[in-house]
Amino acid sequence: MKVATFSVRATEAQSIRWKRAADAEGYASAGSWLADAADAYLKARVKTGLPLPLAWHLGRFRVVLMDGREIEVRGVVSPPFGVYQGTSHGPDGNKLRTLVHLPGRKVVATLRSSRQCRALAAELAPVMIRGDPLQDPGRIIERHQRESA
Amino acid sequence: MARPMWASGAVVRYAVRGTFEQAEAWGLAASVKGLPIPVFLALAADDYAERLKRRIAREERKR
Repeated sequence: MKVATFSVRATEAQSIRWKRAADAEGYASAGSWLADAADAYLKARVKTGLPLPLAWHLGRFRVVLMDGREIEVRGVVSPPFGVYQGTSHGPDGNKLRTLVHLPGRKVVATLRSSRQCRALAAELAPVMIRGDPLQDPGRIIERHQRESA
Repeated sequence: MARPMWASGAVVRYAVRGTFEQAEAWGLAASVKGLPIPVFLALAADDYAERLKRRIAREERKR
């Protein structure tokens, strides 16, 4: 059987945690446990119906506002999404946060918090990356906007 | 400069082998998170190890 091999790096603390977990589950080595741990992680996500959270970092990106102006904003980024403080009219000091689809620089939705924008992005990412035909991005956005209101 | 994705002070390396089917599933999940596959494997292992630890602690409390 053909196999793919990946080299995973760990800190000493991670290595100890993984070895303990591998021992507890009766694996001879942490390397073989890692493969099954990744499968179990994905299975648990599917079982609970939770989308995979994205990895976010601070950054700058461009967005086209409601009036057609294109500006650069500061916020958090996890390609292909970005979130900034403000609305589709522009950045402001209010609590509202806006999710942007970076390739098109388009506003996806303005929600009450950054957490809600990240949750929407996590749910949209597989649909947009994989082109999942079972899920309609428009419906997902509407549901998040309803829940945010 | 881009931030390194590995935890600082990474000292141990593990070779993780998977079938092409497994690698495809890991690749999809990693692309959703915007991470390389090895970094995703490390994150998934941390998450699973933490859940396992909590599960063992729960079972020990029950006894």
